[in-house]
Amino acid sequence: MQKFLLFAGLFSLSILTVTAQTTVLASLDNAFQIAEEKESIPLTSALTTLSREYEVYFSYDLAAVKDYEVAKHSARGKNVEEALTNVLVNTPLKYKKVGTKNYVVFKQKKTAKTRTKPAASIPKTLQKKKEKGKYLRQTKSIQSLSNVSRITLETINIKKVTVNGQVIDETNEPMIGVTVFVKDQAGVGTTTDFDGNFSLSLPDLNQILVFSYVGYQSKELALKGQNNLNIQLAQDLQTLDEVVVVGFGTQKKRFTTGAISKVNSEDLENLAQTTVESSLQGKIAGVQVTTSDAMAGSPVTIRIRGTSSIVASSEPLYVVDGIPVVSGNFSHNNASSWRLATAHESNALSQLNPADIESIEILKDAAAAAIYGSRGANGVVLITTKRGKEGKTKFDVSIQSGFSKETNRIEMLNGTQYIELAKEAWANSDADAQLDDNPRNDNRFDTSNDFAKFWQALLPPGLTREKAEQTNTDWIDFALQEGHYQEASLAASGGTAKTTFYIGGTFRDEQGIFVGNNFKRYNSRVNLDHKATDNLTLGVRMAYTVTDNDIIPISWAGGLGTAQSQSLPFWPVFNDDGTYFNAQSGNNVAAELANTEMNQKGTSILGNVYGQYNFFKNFSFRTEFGINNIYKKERYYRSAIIEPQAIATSVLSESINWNLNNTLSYSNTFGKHALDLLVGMNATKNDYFTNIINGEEFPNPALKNPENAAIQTATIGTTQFAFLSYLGRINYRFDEKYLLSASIRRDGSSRFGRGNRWGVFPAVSLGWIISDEDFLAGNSTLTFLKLRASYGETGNAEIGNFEYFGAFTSSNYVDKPGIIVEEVDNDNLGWESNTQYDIGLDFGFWDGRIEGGIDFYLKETSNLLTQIDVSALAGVERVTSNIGSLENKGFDFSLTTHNLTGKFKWVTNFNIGYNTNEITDLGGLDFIPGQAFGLGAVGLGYPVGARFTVPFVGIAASDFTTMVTDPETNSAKEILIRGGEEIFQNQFGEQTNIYDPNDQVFIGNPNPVWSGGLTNSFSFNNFDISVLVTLATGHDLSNDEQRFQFNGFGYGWNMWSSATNRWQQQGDITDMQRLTWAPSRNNTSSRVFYDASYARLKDITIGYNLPKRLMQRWHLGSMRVFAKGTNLATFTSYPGWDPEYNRDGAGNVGQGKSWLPSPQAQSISFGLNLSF
Amino acid sequence: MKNLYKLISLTILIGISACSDFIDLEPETSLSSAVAFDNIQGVEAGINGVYSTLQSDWVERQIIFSETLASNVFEVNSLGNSNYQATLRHETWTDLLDIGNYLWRMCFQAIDISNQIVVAMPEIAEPNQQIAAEKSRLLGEAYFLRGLNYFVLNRFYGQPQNGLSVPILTAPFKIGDTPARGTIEAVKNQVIQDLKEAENLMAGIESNDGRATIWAVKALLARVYFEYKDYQNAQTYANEVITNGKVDGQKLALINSGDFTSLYNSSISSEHIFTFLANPRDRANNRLFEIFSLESAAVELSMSKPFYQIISKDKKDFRIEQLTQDFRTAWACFKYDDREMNMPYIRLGEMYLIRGESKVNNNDLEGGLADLNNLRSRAGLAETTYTDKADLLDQIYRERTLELFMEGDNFHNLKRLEQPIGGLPWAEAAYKLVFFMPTKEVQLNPNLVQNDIW
Repeated sequence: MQKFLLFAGLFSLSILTVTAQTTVLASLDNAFQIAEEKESIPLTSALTTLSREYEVYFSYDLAAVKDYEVAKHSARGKNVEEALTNVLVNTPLKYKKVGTKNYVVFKQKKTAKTRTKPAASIPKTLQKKKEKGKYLRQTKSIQSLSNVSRITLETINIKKVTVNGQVIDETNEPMIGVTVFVKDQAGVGTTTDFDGNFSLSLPDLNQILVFSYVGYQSKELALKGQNNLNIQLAQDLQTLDEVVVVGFGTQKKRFTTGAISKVNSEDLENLAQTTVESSLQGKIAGVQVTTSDAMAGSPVTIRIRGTSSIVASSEPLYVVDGIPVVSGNFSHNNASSWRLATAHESNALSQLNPADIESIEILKDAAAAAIYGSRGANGVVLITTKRGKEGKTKFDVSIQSGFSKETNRIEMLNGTQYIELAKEAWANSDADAQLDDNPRNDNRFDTSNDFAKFWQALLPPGLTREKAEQTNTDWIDFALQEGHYQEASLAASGGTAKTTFYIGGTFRDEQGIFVGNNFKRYNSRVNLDHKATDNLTLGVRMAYTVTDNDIIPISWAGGLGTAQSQSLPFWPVFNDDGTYFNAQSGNNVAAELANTEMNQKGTSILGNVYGQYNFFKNFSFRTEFGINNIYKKERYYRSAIIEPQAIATSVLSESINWNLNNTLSYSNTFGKHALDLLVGMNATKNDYFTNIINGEEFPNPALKNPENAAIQTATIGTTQFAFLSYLGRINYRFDEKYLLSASIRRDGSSRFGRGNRWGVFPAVSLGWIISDEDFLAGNSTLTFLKLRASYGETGNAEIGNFEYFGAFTSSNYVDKPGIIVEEVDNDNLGWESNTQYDIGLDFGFWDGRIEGGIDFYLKETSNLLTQIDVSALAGVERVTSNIGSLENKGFDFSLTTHNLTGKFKWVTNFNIGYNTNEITDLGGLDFIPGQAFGLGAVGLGYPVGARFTVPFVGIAASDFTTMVTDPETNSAKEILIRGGEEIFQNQFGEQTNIYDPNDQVFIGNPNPVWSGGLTNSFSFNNFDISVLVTLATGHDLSNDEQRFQFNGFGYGWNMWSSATNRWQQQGDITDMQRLTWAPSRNNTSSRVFYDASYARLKDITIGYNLPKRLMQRWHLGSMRVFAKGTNLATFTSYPGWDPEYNRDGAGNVGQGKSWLPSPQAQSISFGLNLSF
Repeated sequence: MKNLYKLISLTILIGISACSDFIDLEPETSLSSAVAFDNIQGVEAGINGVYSTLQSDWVERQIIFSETLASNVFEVNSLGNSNYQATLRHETWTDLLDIGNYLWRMCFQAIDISNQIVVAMPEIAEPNQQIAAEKSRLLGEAYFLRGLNYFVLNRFYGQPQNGLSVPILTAPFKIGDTPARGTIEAVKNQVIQDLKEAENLMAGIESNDGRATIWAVKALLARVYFEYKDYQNAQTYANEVITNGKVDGQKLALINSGDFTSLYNSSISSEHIFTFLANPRDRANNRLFEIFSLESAAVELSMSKPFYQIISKDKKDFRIEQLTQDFRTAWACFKYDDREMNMPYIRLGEMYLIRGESKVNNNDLEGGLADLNNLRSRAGLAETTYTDKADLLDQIYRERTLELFMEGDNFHNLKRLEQPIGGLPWAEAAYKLVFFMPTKEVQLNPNLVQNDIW
């Protein structure tokens, strides 16, 4: 309430006001120019300069200030307060900040006790130093608010007419602090009071009044005799004056020359997802975000302008408050048992609390990212956390809660169907065996004796035919559940002129849609900034996070993956005695989930301390030391119910990452030249340690830790990496129109070969604000136009730590130390480098009513870090090497339109990115066969991740004969293709039923060609609705698991219920082949490829802000309630679980290749935000 | 100003001190190849590393490949490896085409380390007699392991039609080298040469700690000469092993008929000549347990019915009684039922078979019969007689099948004897049932001629 009193006190005074609105001041320019010649200039001129420079507004009583003159160069300082203090230092005037951008300059009223000379005796002479001291003391005497309210005017104009009025905004709410002045007489004016009212004395009613307010468009109004006015101001829609964070500094959006996109905190609030990266989905052109699955805390893939590597990571660099952080897989799973080792990956960034984030900037082109040279090849995501603002402590409370379920469910064959189809397959195989003279088939598929052999083969031990025929188990029901989550967060921020703070804490408790998946996160954060002296600022950003995550394997080893593959529907869940049926098979999902424990507890510290020292007016030195430590305790256990012996693993690991930045910057303007220089260095080191203990055989089921196991094996691992970099940047601006930015960075990384550790990464970019040229100035349609062009190089070092090192690793034999070859030396292993060209145009129409930008880019990656096969005669399979190049090209387009403004607002944000990816060189090879995990080859002229497989034509409807060419002899021969068989296309373009690996070609593209998002936001009175639709098209998913599902019987796999459409007789036209028992067709062909294009109703949020009047009555700042829906609808032709899919740990080449995938979560949540 | 100077000097300090060596990191847990074998401990570790490489999959693949190629097994529950047999026998094309790669890589890994050790050895100082002896043993083992691996490669990759086998490397391989294939004959000579070297260097080495002894070398020589049909040498070496061979200081002897399982568990019997010792801490998973044992979660292989019918003719045979079971649709082999079993690679039973058959081939029919009956009687079978040489040889062949079933021997034996294999006449089997040169190797090495199997 004190703040309101202050306002009331201030504005009840009839202060004559000037503003420094540029338009108004045009007429003053001449005077200003002349004044510069003189040694001293009028105080009003100095204030005008400050106003323009810092974009702030001054209110003052003209009569009180007009006679003062100040030294010409006194209006300097690193911020407005400092400059203002310098200006006013030799006058008896003081200032007070009102709101964020308004300053009142006033003279303290003389009281009887004041021993100073009357102000009037000071003007027009420069004050001597001893006098200065007196006035400084005076400053200290008016710190209490009551003093401020005692300010009175000394001079009063003679009034002839009084004009009264009220200023309101589009929602009809009164606007406080709006500057009102007479056009062309900047000295005559006032500001509106708490109720938006103003009163102004004028000589007559033929004046033109100007109303202005930060963030709103100024309005001119000719009085034409009126003396009672109601004025409504419209929001200024331009975002050009917004400040964006760039590497090692900030820049005004108007002057940026790189491709940088920004997401504000409003877009990050109240996320239904656990991780902050998901919030970027559909928001930024050229940034494609894919959540791998619905597991809480699971990894999110971000591709900024495409996949730019083959083996090295294509994930962007994440920088939180200036510190590069550890991202990527957070789990280790180095258990000795594969069933433990295949647990799900989790995401290091899931430790970040979205509620703490102020903004996220994405540096897309090389010019923007090159300052992070070594690590910027895939773009940079800069995350800035919130800081406190000077003023009363503000509290923000947020509570939300939601429910979730799967987006889609695949129907599998039920028990009855499975048995029916299996029988048919058996009979078919029997028929084939009669035709076939293959001795292997002898009598295996005997159908005599009422399929006695079939039942023998089908039924696992302990299951009778009768029971099987009566059982229908939907195993998916045991793997999926309704999820729910709660989140509560509390933040307080505020501070004094010297110290500001932000402290926040959040607790999130989530139960995922997968049975057994629980995620808890406790976040806390303290951000402090302190001005130790006028020149020295110190601060800290510190977050401590605890996560407790029960994970489960989902794509295989007992979860949803098993439920859709090897858990058969005619199996019961339980035996008659109540024990789990077939528990040790690994395929009883209920038994698996109930008897497996996988838990990761992580604590992380992410923070930095900094000091910034400003000197010689234009110089600033900043040092930042950051740490990002992650400690993790993982525990895995599988009981003796599902394993022959209980097994357990415990993993302790720590990753200690420190980072030091030192930068020296210089900033100055010389007439029309503005210059910013930056030099600096950066050092990063990471030490990773892990200790894994595996245990087998426990004395008692109650004991589950490896410590108690009869057999224990321990593994200790340690590794490290370091980066050392020197950087420099120059930003130059001429006449506020012509922009130049150049940067260079030299980087060394421990990851590369001894002779090739250093790389140099230059970048240069140019900008031209065309709309400020004479021929466009004043154009009311095209109000902003900027052309940008950039060239830059960045590097990628995201490979394993010691891949250059020809190493032996230990492999013991009977407890005696042994070593085996692990890697061969590659001293030439060096940087993968990325050259990017970008040309962009930013535009704005009708003062930002329509704003947008388009960027065309070409990104060439060369010296690709590729694993090349080497002869196994060397004892290893492959080495990491720099071979080949690839390119991404495309464009990003974004557009924001304010379709309706005023009471009913409608804003549309649209963005779309187009990207094509092609491998342009493979070191002379046409293709490199399967890389890590055998997840696919890469081929010259094809995108990364294109599949090398045999083209599939269809299922033969009836028997037919066709000619095929024998590749050996090149002669044609006739073959018979039977009805129901798979038809492939061979290398001669002929149809064949023979699967020949020589017919493999590159098919498909897992990388979306178009990706984008469309947000429509509406608001009316206190209601607002926002609808986000995301889309990705032009890519496909390869359902690799279907090679088993298509003919599952021989493998003991269940199949999609669509298998009932199988081919049964001549003439059947279907996409499901004739069933057989023999598992002969396990070859992936293009048959498993599906168009994965989709559009998705990603987010709908409906909010209601409680009325301000009510809030005032309750002494609250604001309160908002909202409801939110995520992934409510998906439009796609993809027949699988969910078109948004990413395979864990599959790397770039494995993208788009699914393996027993899972759906995403669809959720509805409700919440409340309160601030006071 | 003081702060300023402090901060700036800090930057400079860090800038300078961090400069060059800051990023010069080397792994703490790996050894650089430059220093790996420059001392005796390193060499010993290298030899242990080779044993550890061979310990698990190397043995197991040989057994599975051999039995599968001979059609002695079929898949009962295929977990992704389906169609193994058709693939191995080149009856169908699948993505498992290069299945033999594994063996290729492991053998050459062992050969490469052996070569590095052979090359490094002369540089190592010999300050005293003890180290000289140790050096001699290690060098002998390096030759033994190299010879052993070439022997295995020759078995699986040698293509009789063109007479070509694998490249012969006797020095460390450098990336980019493109050695041509050696002939089967040349590889054979290399094997014998290496083993003879080992025999010289390892004289008197008898401690069985999972590593090769002089008896392992001699037994392997017996096996090698036998497979290459040099029955004179085969008989000599087998005889020497049977007569003088020792294990753990004890004389080698056939075990009792009552307990055949003791050959295939975690103990060392008096019959084990060369055994890979199991140790849970080595984390060498016993794949054979997973594949064959009914106790494993997912049994994959069963003996085939025709093969079972061959070995089960005499129900009183203790080997069959104790080590198999007929489930009528599947035929289990219990030789790999102990998850932590020591893996016998050469055992005494084989030496009797080699000596017996060699004797007969060298026209000592009675001697051969004695060896045969020795094995028969400890299997609980009555002593036998013969009508003529051919009959006696047939009986010894059959005994061999019984004694060594599912131990990866049958396939190579059929090849040696030029018998039909798994339904294929020998002439066809001999050229068809060999592995491809791994596709990748052919792509990388133009001098590597592919086996023309079709």
